[in-house]
Amino acid sequence: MSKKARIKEGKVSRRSFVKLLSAVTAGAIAVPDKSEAFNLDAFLQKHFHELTDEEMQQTLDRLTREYNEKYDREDFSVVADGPQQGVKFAYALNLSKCIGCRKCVHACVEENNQHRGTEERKDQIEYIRVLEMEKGSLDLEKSVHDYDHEVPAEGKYYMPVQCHHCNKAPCVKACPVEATWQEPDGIVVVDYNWCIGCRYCAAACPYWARKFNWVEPRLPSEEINPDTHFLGNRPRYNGVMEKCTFCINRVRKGLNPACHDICPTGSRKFGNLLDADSVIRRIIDTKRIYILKEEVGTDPSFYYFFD
Amino acid sequence: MIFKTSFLTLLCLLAVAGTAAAQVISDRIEVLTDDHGFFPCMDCHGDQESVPTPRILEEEHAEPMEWEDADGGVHLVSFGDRVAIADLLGTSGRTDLIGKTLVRIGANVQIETYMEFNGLTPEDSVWTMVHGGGNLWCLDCHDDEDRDKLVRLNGDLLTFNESHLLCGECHGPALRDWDRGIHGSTTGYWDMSRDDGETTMRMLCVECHLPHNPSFKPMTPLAGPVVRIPGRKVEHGDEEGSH
Repeated sequence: MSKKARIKEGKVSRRSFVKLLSAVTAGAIAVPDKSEAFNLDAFLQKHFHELTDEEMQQTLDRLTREYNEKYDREDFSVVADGPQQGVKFAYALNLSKCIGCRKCVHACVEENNQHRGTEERKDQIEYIRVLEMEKGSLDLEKSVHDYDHEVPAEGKYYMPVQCHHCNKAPCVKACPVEATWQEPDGIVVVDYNWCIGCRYCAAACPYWARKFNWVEPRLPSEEINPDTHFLGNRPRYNGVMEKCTFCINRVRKGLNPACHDICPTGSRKFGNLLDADSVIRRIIDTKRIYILKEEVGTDPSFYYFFD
Repeated sequence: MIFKTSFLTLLCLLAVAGTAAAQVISDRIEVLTDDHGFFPCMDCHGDQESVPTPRILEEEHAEPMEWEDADGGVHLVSFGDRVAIADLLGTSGRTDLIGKTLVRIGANVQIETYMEFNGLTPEDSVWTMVHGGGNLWCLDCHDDEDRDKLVRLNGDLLTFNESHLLCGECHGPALRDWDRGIHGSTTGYWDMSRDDGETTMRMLCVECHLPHNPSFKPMTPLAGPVVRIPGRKVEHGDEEGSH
């Protein structure tokens, strides 16, 4: 039987198969290693919890290299600082002081390397949504989030909503592949390389805190924050979920989140819940605390207060 | 003769004018409005009314100055220096998160922070004295003899670096919360054990509230979220992840 006839019948000789494999392999190697191209290392990357220290370091080095190349920079740093012993983060927001200026929203976008939206629409991903509420009411259905008048408006107050880092997080329970979990210091994080983009977590979250990358994120090189964390603000991919991490790249170094530091009215307070002398504990001890949607039983680490 | 008549006429006119002026001043004293023309401070500092030209205290105090805290400790500070709140308040034993945070020395530095936060220039109209709704005047807060000092209700003098103590005389709960870290802005570290000694800062009262016009002014918010369909407001149920 001739070679052509064997191929026609679906029978391939070992020699032909090896030749074909060699050609395909050579072709694959010849393709320049652009970040857009298929990346075997990324494809085979283990779950965050299964990475050994050595593998973690290799992954961080690879990501640093890839991001530097993709965004034409030299100063990228991807770290995976772990949680601190004896620390449980919590956040408190003073509803009596917030004036709805949205500075926190935009500081968050810049710090966390969010998708800046298309050139035409600027429909960037925002982790914080500031709700304009009727004074004397906590009815979320009557709130407005796209107000564009001077603030604070007469008869209104403002309630920024973001991830509440719930201790009984519905999003964590909903994830079918364990791509999201709560860290020992209370931060709910996402492994962007493990997320399959099913969006079950977004459906489960009662605080509208999860945001999905429907398109390849647009992130101009000059606007990038190169100080990144593996579980936080490193650039994301198309088709993965992302969310507030209390600026994990900052808080694990002892710094306050970006939204906290930018607030012009000092409405935002952050600290260690396990430290009896922390600001957050003083607020819980002395102020009237309001937990948004307390009835859903998510036990959040985010508190609103009045004074 | 002509001279005598003219002189008498002029005298009468002056008497009438003087009576009218006295009446005006008398009215002002009785009414005690916030009309700055009445305040004796404005005899020399009339420019403070709407477009102040603050004295450059840094130039007047180019050399570091000594300042005694409540514990009797003497500090040598320059304008713009950063000092721990524990030192400022004179609570020497205080080493907690709040006590270790820093504040800036110098009223001018603090006002500049306010202007930067609010995008203001000295030409903006917010400088008019409205604090207290007309019930306060210069010498309720400023010492009449030493303009570098503030005066408490009991007559004690304060430096500009201790202005928060003066604010606290009327706004006690706010000062109490500020001291606990609940009121006011703090930037930098939440974990003071990792602070480098220069990063974590607390704002003093006048860095957020202009002392002569302290309420927050309405501002234009930064851009809001883009609605999914242009021209239509998005109902909350339309966003992904909402209910």
